[in-house]
Amino acid sequence: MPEPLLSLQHVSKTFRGRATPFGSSEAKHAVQDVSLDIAPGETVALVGESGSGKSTLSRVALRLTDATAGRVLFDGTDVTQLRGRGLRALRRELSVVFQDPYTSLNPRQTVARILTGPLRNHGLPRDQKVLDELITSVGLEPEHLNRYPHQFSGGQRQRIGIARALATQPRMIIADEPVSALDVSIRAQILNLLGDLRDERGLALLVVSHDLAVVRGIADRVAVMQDGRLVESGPVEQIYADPKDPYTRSLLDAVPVPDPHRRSRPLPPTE
Amino acid sequence: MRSGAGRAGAVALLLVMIAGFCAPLLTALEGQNPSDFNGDLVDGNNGGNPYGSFGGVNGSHWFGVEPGTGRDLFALVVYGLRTTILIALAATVVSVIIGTAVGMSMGYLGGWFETVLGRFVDFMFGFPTLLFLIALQLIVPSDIPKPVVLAVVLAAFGWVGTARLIHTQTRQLAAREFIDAARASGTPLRRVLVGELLPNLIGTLAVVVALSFPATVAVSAGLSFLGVGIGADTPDLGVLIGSSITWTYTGADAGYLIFPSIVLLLIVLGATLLGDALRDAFDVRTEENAR
Repeated sequence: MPEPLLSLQHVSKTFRGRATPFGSSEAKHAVQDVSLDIAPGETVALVGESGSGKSTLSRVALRLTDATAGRVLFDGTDVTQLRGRGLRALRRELSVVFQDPYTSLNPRQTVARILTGPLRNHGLPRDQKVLDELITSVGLEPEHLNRYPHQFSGGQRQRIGIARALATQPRMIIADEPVSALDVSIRAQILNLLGDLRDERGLALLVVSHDLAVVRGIADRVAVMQDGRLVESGPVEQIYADPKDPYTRSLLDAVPVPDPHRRSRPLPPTE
Repeated sequence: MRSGAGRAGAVALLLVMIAGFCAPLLTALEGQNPSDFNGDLVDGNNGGNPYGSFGGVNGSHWFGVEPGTGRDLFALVVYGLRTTILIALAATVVSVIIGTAVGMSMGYLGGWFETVLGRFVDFMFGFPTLLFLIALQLIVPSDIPKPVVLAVVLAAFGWVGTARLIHTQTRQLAAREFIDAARASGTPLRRVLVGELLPNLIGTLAVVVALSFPATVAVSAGLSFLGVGIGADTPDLGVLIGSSITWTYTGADAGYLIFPSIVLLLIVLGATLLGDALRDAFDVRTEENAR
């Protein structure tokens, strides 16, 4: 196995209980001792129901929140303790696409301004040509650059979010529930776009989702989380064909099957 | 703006503001100025009451004259208006800047910083401001101009409400994903605050300015009324109203009380109506309409 690009080692994250005059509420162990490696160019799906800690884990990986224990390595460098300028490489090479395209774009900024932000942070060229290329790479038009987020549909907004993630030419993107806020009819488009961009640019991808059906077509490997722990991980076909953990099985059972009469596993392998 | 009341408020405020800023022009038009004493216009045998009806209103003294001194009341009102507006405007601008900086840093940074500063804000909120203002006016050296002292103390206590409002708004905004997106791409703190958060607070700030301006006008007029704000030598609406009360009690014509009061009412009411309309338009939750 090649050197991992992102390596989460025994990561735990505990949210302290809120102190009130009547005692403090219980601490929440959102992530407990999770280790996960992602190789360059690899796509890993992190699945689990809401509250399983998968979003917290991705926030730890992005260094948006600090792990209580464990280490985060990016490209061989321990970034767990880095702050400010020390995080520059991580900030440039690891991007994020958020779930809700309605709150993930600043409503007061034009698309051009939104895309310029990351470029400016890293002193990268940000002329018209760069912006035109970025916006067309996600299937939108250069004339969209001067508009505001509210003038776009959900799917278009998510494309803008993806363009922003691509701006600094990262080596890896973490997509936190990238399609769950979108209409079912456009989910496939956005997933295909992510898959195509990954293939073109050799990106590593961590797709966080509560829906196994969503990640099946895109992931190489699946990691399943439950109550803050990693309960199962393996190649996507193995997880689908022969889930070891009962929790994984129950997640798979929740995936609607096109033909109810063929409800029994194993599902036929794709591709 | 669709609100009729808001539009009326804006017009009233604008008219009064223009009158204040064009005070020298308007008094020149009238042919008077605020410092000329006209002893011949007041009846010394009648306690210094102005001759003529309604405080001596006539073609050359539009609002009549001040009892006792015979100074032109229109000139006093428009010059007083100017003092009042300038003090309130300066105090409002400074207090909104302080309040915004405190509120934003609390709401965004959180943690112990938020806790400590939050306690201080609570302390300031519960402080008996008026008593402190009165005490402070008495100990400040007299060579500092009174209007400046007044503006500074009004600003020093006026920022608290703004800080609280901006604090909650910032907390809500900071939880939105575009802030995380900005952080994840390495946006420096200053740019997150100024470039990402502040533009989303503009609506709230417009409302804050429009609502705290009339409140500041009222407080500064109140202080002058109590005799601890502006000295009697500077024309000011609060001072005028304060001294007119005594005259009205002792039987002078009510015109001396009514003209400055109406102008003060126009500022406060106009700005408040405008602020309310802005608040509804921007859908801002202030402490008044939160319940």
